[in-house]
Amino acid sequence: MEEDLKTSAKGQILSIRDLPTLPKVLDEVSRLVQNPNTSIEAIAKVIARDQVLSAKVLKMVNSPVYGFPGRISSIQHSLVLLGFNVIRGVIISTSVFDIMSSTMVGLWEHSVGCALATGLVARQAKLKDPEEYSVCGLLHDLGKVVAAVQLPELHKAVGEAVRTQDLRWFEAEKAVLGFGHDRINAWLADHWHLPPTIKEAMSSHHHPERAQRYPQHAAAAHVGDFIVRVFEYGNGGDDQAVPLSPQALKILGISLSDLDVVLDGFAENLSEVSGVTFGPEDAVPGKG
Amino acid sequence: MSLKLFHRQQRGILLSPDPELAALFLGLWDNQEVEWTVITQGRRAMEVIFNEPPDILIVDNRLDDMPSAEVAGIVKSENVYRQLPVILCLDQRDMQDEWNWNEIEADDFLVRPFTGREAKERVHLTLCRASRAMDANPLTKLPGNTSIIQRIQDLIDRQDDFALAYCDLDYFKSFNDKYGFSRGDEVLMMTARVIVNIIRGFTGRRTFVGHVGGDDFVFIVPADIAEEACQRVVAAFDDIVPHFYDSDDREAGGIISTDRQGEVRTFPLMAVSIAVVFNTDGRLKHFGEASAIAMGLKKKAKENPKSCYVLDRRTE
Amino acid sequence: MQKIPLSLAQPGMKLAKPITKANGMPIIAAGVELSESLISKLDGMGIDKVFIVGDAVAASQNPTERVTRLDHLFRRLGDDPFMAQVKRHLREYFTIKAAADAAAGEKG
Repeated sequence: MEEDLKTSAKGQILSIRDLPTLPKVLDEVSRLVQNPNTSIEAIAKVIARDQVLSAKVLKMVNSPVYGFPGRISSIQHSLVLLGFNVIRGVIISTSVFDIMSSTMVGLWEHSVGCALATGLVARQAKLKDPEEYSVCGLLHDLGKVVAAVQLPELHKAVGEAVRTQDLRWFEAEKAVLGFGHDRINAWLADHWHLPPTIKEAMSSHHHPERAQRYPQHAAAAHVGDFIVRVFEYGNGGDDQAVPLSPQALKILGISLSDLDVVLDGFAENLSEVSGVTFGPEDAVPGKG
Repeated sequence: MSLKLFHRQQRGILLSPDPELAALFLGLWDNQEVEWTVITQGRRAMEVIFNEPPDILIVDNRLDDMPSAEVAGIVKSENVYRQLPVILCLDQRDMQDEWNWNEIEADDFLVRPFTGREAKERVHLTLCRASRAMDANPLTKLPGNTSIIQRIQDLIDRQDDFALAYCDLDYFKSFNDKYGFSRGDEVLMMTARVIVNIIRGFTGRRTFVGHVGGDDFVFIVPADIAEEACQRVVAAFDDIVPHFYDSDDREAGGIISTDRQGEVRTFPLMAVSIAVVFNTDGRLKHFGEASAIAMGLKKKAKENPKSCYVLDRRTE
Repeated sequence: MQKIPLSLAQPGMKLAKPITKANGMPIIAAGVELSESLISKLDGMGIDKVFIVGDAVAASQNPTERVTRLDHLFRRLGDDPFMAQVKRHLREYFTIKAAADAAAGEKG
């Protein structure tokens, strides 16, 4: 039973009721997925009913972030090649695109960039299913959006603290709200029933050494966040480098030289990845 | 009766001047499981290690001609031997200072006094871990030959009812020739994903997917869902593979190339051939039997240029 | 190019489209970089949305730019020896990249 999240500012809470609504198809699909007899085809059919969503998902999964750029022509293929966990993450991400873009400029680009970087880190660390790691990077800052939408005054105060005290967004959040977006992320992941790997990455990417069950996912997202900020692609709320955790590199079994390969890959793929955005032509009718 | 962890005899080298340690190790295993060679001098050991690399190396810090760290360093610095697992054997006094495990690339250590049981379990754990690490296919990260054989033999020994499916790709070579290895790798990755995600789709059932190498894959499923699994893999593969070709080849339904003699050859779109061997009522005794039967079936499957599967229909 | 609410405009962003009067006459040209005072002025004019240049990619991919920005990015991490090492490593990486780009005759 999840509860509302109380901030340190009196009376200001993050309420479950006011969380962004996820596409209806996701609910239905999540139910289907629980049934062991559901076929990939059946899941694909349900998702495909939301044509606008499907088009966005296909645009995203065909970017170089996910191992098969330009090869995925249907939702069914995307499920077969990337698995449901990845597609669910992409669906969630595309559905908050509008809110994200209107509350924190640059956060979408930062998130997509982090997805690219995290996936590259996972590949360099020779981890299995690198696309699942990409999704960890994609969703790592969702909590910032929730706070921005539900508590706009506090959100503004966080921004002020960043500007006036030269804090990192994460530090400013803790000062103003009493906790960081990592806590909001954990809360969100529970409410949206995200898989434990993604939840761990979302809630422990600032302190990967504290990750309990899936340190590699947390560590990869941590390093991914570090890298996208080095390139200053997009905006995570501040313009400071992430204090990189040496533990994270150990957890992944990579060295600073391994990061060079990741940096190369990031720069190479950035132009294509920057095209992953949704203009008015992709918009849901009625929204601008 | 002890657990059978390894499908072949393991060979270990114990590098130590301590006769008690030697006696302990020699007494812990049946020679058939793990055969130990005891060497008392570091220098001499290097020669043996490099000429006949063992499966595991135990280095006693009490060695008087070379510090154990140096031995580990030499072994790990040679690329070919990097995979050789090394366990250091230490004394309490060695625990007074910190060890720089980044510099000294040992895989594990034992501190005296330790029981025979502890030594045995550590050695087993290290051997199993090393074989897992080496075994994964570098491209798809799927378990390789060693793990595959182990799993099949395990299931046979337990007389589980299972179906063993060998998959490979037809016309993969011609695709590689035209599009290059990089794109060929994409196809292999795609095939791995298709198989893994389809097999994973049978939730709650005991399954396994392995990558032997190149375009050879293996999956193991309960006998009752074998045909369904094959049908789904074939359908998904056929649906997806055209997208890995350029549009003109995709439309033509294949690669048309002219060889040096001016002969025009057409290679159809890649197809997946699956040969399925069943182990029901414990009919198989050894994994070798399974692969032999599969090879025969595979020939049949490959006669068909389209994706297809052949099930071993024999009932006894 | 992105259309953003003026409330989210930051100094440093560049206008992608000119700000025009109701009759279409441009009052502030495209390419002008926004400053705190300019943003306030636009606010006073009742402007609520602006088009800004998204040159995110070019700046990100420019290794010379990356080297220059390292001091700023790492400004609060000076006391940490590991971060100093990381910064040195990155400086070396991007410096070599910039040199390679220059040698190849490409713009960085």
